[in-house]
Amino acid sequence: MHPVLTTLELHGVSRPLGSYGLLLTAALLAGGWLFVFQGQRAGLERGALISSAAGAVMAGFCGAYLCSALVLWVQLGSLRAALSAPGIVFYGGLIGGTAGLAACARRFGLPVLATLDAALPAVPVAHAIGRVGCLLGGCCYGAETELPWGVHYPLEHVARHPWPLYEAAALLALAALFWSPTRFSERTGQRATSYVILYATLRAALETLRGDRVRGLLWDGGPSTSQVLSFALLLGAIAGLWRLRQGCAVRAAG
Amino acid sequence: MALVSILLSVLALICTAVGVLTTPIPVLGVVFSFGAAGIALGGILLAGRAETRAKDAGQPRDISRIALVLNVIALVPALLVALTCGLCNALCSTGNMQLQKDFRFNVGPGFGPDAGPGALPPPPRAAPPDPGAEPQPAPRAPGDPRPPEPSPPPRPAQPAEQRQEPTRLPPPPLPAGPGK
Repeated sequence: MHPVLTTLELHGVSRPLGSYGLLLTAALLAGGWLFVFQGQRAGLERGALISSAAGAVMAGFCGAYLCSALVLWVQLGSLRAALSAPGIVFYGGLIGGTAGLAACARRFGLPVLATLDAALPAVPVAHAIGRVGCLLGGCCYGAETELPWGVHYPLEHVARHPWPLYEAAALLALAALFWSPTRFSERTGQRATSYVILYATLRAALETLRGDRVRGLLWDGGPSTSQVLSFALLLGAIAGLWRLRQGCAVRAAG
Repeated sequence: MALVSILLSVLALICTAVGVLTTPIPVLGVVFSFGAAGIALGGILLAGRAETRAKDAGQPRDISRIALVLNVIALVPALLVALTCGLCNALCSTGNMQLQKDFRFNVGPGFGPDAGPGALPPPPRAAPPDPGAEPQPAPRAPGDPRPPEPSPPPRPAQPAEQRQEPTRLPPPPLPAGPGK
């Protein structure tokens, strides 16, 4: 954990440079570049891809904040308190970013499903970099462990699972799986739905190793908020994949 | 459109600088910090549109590319400031960070800290006064014409077993980690 990398000076005013902010910025730049690169490989127009990426990032931040506020609203029972507490949730970013990307693609004349497919492997790569920022920032920590690779956070005597690194490793494996544009590409849109299915499954499994209860549980000992969202997204992605297959079958029959 | 995008990149850089300077001011710091990132993203969106239009019209795309580069350059410090200074300002503005009370970030009932499990130390206690300590001279005002009092002679060193380790204060609290 190393939340403050260094201190910046500007005309006598010093401000800390946060590790989380730096890694999230790097994640967005790397993800944006990969998205445009992958989209161009798929034959999509560069300018529209750049515009769509910017729109997706904006919508993603809005979704991440609103999802955090929604979780807090359910837990606190006060909408005002929930909206005033800053925070971002990845799943909210994923849902908002996907909706923003689809809307921008439609607006700027790109094929929606092909554009969503081009977001891979940009999403897992950016997410993995962001998770390293989580480890440095000290959020999203794991449960207590006695394993030799457990990490110690400041002012704690117990070791914890390096949960952000677990997820970063899983995300990099997913990125490698989706690196080739021909994989999972029998139908347009299949790459995006396949990724959601795989990620939601991985995330639901990895959630069992988390130790921060701040994100909320539906009930004591029950699933975490992210596990519930994983399950909902898993069902949605399976339904989407089934629809894609149905659509292809109807077209083939016609 | 490309020129508007270039203007937005300059505006984003200005807002970033203002965001850095207004971090201690509630609400204003959030508006400028996060606003700068939003403006830079809007500039990137317009730069992409400008590139598409230039391509469709068969015109050179140099200006749109310059606009894109400038906005990406503006986005980096804007995001850094938004996710460091802006977030800190948001926490302070909404009263979620009650440093004065007990050095804990209270987000609400039932919530624990989210900046590392042990990142939030218990309230620091003042070190107990040393009964054998020499009285310290009162601090002098900057314009005080009186000569400074002579410092007392150094005390003889105590044996190691009698020497008391100074109370070690915990490090300052850290802002809550934003990611979940």
